[in-house]
Amino acid sequence: MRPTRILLVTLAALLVAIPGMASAATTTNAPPGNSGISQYLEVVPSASGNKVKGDGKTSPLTHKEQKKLQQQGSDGQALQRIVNQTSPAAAPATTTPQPKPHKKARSVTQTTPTTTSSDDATSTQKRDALAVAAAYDGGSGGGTGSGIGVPLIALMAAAALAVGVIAIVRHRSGGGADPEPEL
Amino acid sequence: MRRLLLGAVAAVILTGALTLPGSASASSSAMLLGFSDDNTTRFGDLTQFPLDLDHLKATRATAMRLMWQWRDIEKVQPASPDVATDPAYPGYDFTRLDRLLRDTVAAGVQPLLTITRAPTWWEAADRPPVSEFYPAGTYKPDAAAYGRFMTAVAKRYSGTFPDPADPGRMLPRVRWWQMWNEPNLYVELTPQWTKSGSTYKETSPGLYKKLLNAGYDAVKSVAADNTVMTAGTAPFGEPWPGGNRMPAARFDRVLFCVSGRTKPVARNCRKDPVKFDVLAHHPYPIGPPGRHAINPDDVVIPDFAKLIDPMKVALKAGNIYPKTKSKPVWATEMSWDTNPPDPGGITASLQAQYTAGAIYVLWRQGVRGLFWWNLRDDAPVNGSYAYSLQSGVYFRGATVAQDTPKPSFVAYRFPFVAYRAYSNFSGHGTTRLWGIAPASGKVQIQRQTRSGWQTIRTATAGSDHVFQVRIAATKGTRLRASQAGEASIDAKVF
Repeated sequence: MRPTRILLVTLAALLVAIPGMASAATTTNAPPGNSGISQYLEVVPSASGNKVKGDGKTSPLTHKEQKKLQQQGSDGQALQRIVNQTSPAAAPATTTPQPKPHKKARSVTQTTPTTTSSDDATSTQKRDALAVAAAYDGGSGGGTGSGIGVPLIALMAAAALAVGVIAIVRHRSGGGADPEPEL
Repeated sequence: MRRLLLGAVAAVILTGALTLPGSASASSSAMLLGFSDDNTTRFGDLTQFPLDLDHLKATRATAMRLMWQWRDIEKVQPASPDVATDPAYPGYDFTRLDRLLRDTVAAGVQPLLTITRAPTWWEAADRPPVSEFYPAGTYKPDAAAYGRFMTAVAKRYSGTFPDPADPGRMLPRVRWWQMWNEPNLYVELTPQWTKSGSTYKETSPGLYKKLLNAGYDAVKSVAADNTVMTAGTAPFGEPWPGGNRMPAARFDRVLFCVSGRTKPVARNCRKDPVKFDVLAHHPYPIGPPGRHAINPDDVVIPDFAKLIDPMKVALKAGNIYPKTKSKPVWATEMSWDTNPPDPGGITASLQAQYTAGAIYVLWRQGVRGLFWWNLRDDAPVNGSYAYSLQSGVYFRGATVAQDTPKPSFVAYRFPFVAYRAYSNFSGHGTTRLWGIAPASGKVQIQRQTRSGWQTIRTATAGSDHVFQVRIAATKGTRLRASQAGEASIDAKVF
């Protein structure tokens, strides 16, 4: 494929992808294979930062999302509760630590634990954690991000253009430094 | 078919491991490999544990991390400091730990003992009621009491303490000690932060420093050649002050008495240095092994510099004792879940590829120890895999004997990676190969062809078993390494 064509395809792909990326802004980073346990999830500030939306007491979920969760019975309600309590958007509004489900592997087994550790989760906590984990597994889009704005799109397009130019120059010169791999 | 083949390979290897105890101890390997598996050690069927250890050795791992809770041993508060340091104090219940350590050492596996979580009576008097926010055993634990308890434990596992279950014999020696677990998480240590006026101040690093130093002095007083490891820090924290989890890099900077994220500068804390021999961290990943954390103070697989750089600055300033040029760095927990059985996991073959990649990325940064979290998959809980870890290198069978190896089993035994050093737009280019062979010496680099695997090059593994070579290869080429008839995991050039 010619370099100019690659450049055009890259730019087109970026322009298509960017709005989607913005609307899918999430507050946790949990790709497949991640343990799915809250303490091993990276919390990432959303496009709107860590600011509280509204007075910090309202749910970060939309009415539609809340309604959907309500319809899903106890698991859905548990998830709604957890989202309301642990949403990073709401966190700075409170001074007390927010509850998180406990790490799973150390708290539950098929056999009866011989200890009475505090991390041996209660059934309610387990159910809550299941709901949260399920939400993470499913990729909690949410769509609550406020968008990243035209300047960022322009910046990314410029960066893509620069990358394309560098690639062409490197290709013509026939060499370059070893890139670090993402294995 | 692939699973059957893996099973056959593992059966052959296991037979060897059973007939030659300790033969898998490749102590000179560049990366010390071990496992951490709570559901096997803390909760599992002890009659199955020797078989678990055989499975561990079959992966060529040489170490097992046993994580234990202080409060699970100390059932009754000792009446005096002298009683607390007595390894035979009847208020301590070592029954299960004794047995696990006995089996571990008898199998030729090196134990790493991690002790965390205090009995409630060693928490500060002002602790709030036990809750989700303030789990029992974590609130401002008494460091002096931890030191006394660790003295008792170190005496018990000094190799000179009579085995109560086997008169005439001694309990085994533990040489590697890890003080606490993930102290940057509120579930392990509280409070993480203290609010003063409108600002938050880091609290957990100071609490942890006292625990670590007390533990260090305790186990070193029993045997000066004991090795003391910091608690592995969890990888992620809330990116704002006052959260439940403190980002690992921030936690360590405060612990080391160093300021500045991008250009760390040591403050003068040499009168009260933090004491350890090995720095540990838990770089649970977010995606492939080469992917960096998004937040600047979170630390995943390729981000160890965020911990090592401030450590070096602190060492130079005398803020860490004993003063050396650098300290070994280990990853004492890490994993990816697989699908099957967890629908949220990655494929078993991708887990294998990532495992080899992770070993390489860790090695490149100077990390020299890795304890994989889970030897065998956890069982589902209430029929769901969402709340347990399926990150083992063995698929879980009805019994341990029925466990079957995943492709990551081979990746752990003989890691091998291939990546493009340079390629042009036609897909031709240079590929860099890296691996850790079973032994030093010649390694055959092989390419998959229609007629099978063909040797295309010979590399030499050094005394640390590492080999590196560059070859010309086209995108999509499948390569592997082989030594003395044993093949590595294969790698596709991408």
